[in-house]
Amino acid sequence: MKGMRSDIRSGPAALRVLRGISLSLGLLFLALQPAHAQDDPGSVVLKIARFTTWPASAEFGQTFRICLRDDDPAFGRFVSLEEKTVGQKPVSLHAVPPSLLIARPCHLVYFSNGFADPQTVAGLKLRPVLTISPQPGFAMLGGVVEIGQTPGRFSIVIDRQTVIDHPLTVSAQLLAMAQEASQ
Amino acid sequence: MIPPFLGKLPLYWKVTIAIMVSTVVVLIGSYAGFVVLETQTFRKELLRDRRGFAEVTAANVSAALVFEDELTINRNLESLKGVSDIQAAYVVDKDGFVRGRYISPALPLSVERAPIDLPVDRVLGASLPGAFAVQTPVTSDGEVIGALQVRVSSERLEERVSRYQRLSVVVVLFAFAVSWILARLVANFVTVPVSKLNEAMQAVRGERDYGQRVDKRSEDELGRLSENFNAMLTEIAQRDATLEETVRERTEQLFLSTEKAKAASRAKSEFLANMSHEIRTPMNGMIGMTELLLQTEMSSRQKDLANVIMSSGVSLVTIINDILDFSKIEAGKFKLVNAPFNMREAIDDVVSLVAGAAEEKKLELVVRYHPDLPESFVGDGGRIRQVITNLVGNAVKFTEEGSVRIDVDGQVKQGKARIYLAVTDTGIGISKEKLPRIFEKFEQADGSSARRYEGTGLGLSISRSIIELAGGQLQAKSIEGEGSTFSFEVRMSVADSGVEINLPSDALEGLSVLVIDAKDQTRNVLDELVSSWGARVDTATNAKRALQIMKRSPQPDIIISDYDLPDMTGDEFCNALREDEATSRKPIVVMASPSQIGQPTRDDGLTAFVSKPYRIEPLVRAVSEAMVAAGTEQAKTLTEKGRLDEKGNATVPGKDEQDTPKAQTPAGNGLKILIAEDNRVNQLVVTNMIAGLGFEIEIADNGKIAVEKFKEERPDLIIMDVSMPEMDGLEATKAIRAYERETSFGRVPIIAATAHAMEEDKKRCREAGMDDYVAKPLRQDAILAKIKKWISEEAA
Repeated sequence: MKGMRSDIRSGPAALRVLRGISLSLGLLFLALQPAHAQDDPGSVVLKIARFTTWPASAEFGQTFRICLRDDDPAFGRFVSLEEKTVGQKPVSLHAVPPSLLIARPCHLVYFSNGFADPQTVAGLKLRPVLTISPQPGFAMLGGVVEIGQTPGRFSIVIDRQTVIDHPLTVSAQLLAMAQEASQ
Repeated sequence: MIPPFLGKLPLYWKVTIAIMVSTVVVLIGSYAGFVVLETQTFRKELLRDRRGFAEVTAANVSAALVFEDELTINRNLESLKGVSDIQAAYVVDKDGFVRGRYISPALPLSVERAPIDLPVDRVLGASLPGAFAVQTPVTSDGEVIGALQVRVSSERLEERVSRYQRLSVVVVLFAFAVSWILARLVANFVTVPVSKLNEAMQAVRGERDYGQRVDKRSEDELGRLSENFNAMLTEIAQRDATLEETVRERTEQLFLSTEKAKAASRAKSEFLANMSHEIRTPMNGMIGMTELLLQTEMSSRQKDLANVIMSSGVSLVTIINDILDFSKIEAGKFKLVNAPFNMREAIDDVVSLVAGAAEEKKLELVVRYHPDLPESFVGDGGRIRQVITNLVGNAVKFTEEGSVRIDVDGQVKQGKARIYLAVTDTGIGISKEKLPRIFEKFEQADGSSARRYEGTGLGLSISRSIIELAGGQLQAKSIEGEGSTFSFEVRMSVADSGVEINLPSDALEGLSVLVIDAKDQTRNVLDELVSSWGARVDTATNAKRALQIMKRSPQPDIIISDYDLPDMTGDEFCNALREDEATSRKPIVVMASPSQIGQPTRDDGLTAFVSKPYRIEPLVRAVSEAMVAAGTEQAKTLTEKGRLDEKGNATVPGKDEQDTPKAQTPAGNGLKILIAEDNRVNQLVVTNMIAGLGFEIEIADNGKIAVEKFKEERPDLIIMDVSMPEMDGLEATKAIRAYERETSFGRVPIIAATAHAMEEDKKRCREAGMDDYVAKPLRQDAILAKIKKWISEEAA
């Protein structure tokens, strides 16, 4: 992208105008394009959940319980998940005050970027709860899956020791796609 | 069904071909089955193995596919590089878009670099040119999210198949080699013993060599076959030996049995001959003596009794003759002889024989002998006469009223005659049940226990045998209560120089004859006969009508009339003719019974009496002489033809010379007669028959004495019995003839007195040197006639 911008600057004026229009149209096209599936945090969370196995102690009823902080703005984007299933259990969505996230029965807790406070993440670290967040460094906080920020490609970041010690089992196939969190 | 070309092949080749074909087919079939199975198994294992790879890889790429991480997908697919026969691998999402691919360098350039279109949600396989496609779904949380399709090279499989194909050539060659060796072994094992067996059989069949044996080469069925064949030959050889012995024994037994049977038959024949002779001898005495007795002065009652003895004796002789004939037929010794004889005369003889019986019953006895049929034939006249006697005798016996008619007809062609004779009566007839058995021996029409008619029941059986021996067939037709017809047809040659008694067909040409008889059949037969002589015939049934005809002009030249006319007797009719001047000189032939004929003094030279039923000869003679009496011109023609002599007496050329002189008493004049007869009674009979005639009689008790007395007494005539002890008549005659030749004696007539009056007996007598014969039982008139004949010849 950097290269392309330098070419525009070096062209004649008419061409520059034309290029400017083209660029604008291109940006507009990109802006109008539907969001990629990987950009939908609910969808990504659900796919990750499908490659994770919960221990028998994580039986919290008939639904697959997804919890978010009640102040998390992404909650609205998770509403559509209530029609989906994970492990043949219908998904149920729960907004939980941050202070109660550790205590409440949840199979999965999602933290939007900036909402994963280390204290809560650490509290959930040894519980059979899949914690997911795109917040950089989340894996290092003790979260199980940190959604990577590699442009054009979905990626996840994990902390090996966290995954090894965690009561949950993350599938090797998913792990094969993962990057290990650096210290 | 065996094809024709195989049918001609030797057993060896049949077995060889059968074994080779079956062995090769089995081996090749087995190999092909093995190859197919092995290939299928290999293919299945290969696919299963590659499917396993595909499944593992599919599981590995599931997360990457979920997150559309094509890099990870391709990285996973790269792991298939180590599997040499995987040419390509594709990961497609559930919409069919390729999300990852792996292309091996081994994938031919000509192959499209894209997966084949298969449903993603199922495990599938597909055959491609040179490869297989194996597809397995990629799932996530139980949901199909795509599929992994792997293209596996089938090169290994093809290589294997190719290897098997190359190997199949070896297998086929091996199969042929094995089958050939096996076939040779089996064929030799089977065909060699069979060939040996066949050779042995051919030797047995061709050379009858039952010593042939076949080596037993094994203990199986073929070995047992050889063993049984050898055993069979042994048994055949033994059986042949036994059979030969049995045949020899049986032949001996048969020979002995035959000899016994022959001896028994000879004994039977001899017994019958002896019995016949023994019975005839006393019968001869009885009949001869009775005949002499009848010539003596007796009361009428005594005469009746003597007549009964006479007729009984004659009947008994007939029965004996029948039994003798029957025994000869049974023994197959009954033979016919051929000699000229006069059929017409034979029939007339028979008719004369039964005439008395017929007259007693007032039966009309008619003989119709076809005028154109010759009279003399060559055949066994005696036996034909016997048959006719039997048939006519039966007809008279079984007929109480009406008629008995004898019809003789036939055709002559080139000297051969087919003669048909039928005897028809109006008697009791024969029932339908009896008729088919009437010719069987001891069968009689009246077989009831209370039968009225006598008889042995042998007559018809003998008659049938005689006719069959003569080449004919005796037949009978009958309606019970109405009458019967017995007929036969025989073929005989016409005798070239035979005597013809009947007048020539033109003998009475131009003359007119009146036939008077109330009986239709007799009148018609006479009409036909006289017409055949060329005469014009008028007929009348009574005297009144006859006299009316005689008044016509021209008058008949000759009259033939029955004595018993309805309106007057023969005598009265003659008187009526003689009283009328117009008819007083007309010759008349009257047919009357012997008792009606009367004395010769009644002969006026114009009236001739003929016994009825008339015989042809007396009738012909009477008519011939009547022609002379009538002074006809035709008489001269008859004289020219030798049917009348110079004195106007009728003659029958060729017959008068042969005829036995009438039984007139010959004058002995001291001539010496030697009677050779062993039986005292017969000696007495013959002596009495010729006693008082002036002969000097010498008796010889046997042939030997007869020869001696012949030499001593020099008799003028010898009456020689044929059967005598010590020396029989035939031997004695031969001795006498030999003596005559030695001493130049004049030939002395020897008359055989024999009961065997058949032609063969006569022939034996002639061959022995006898001149004539007289049948036993001796009858006085017969023996006197013979003596007269031969004494006259001697004198001549």
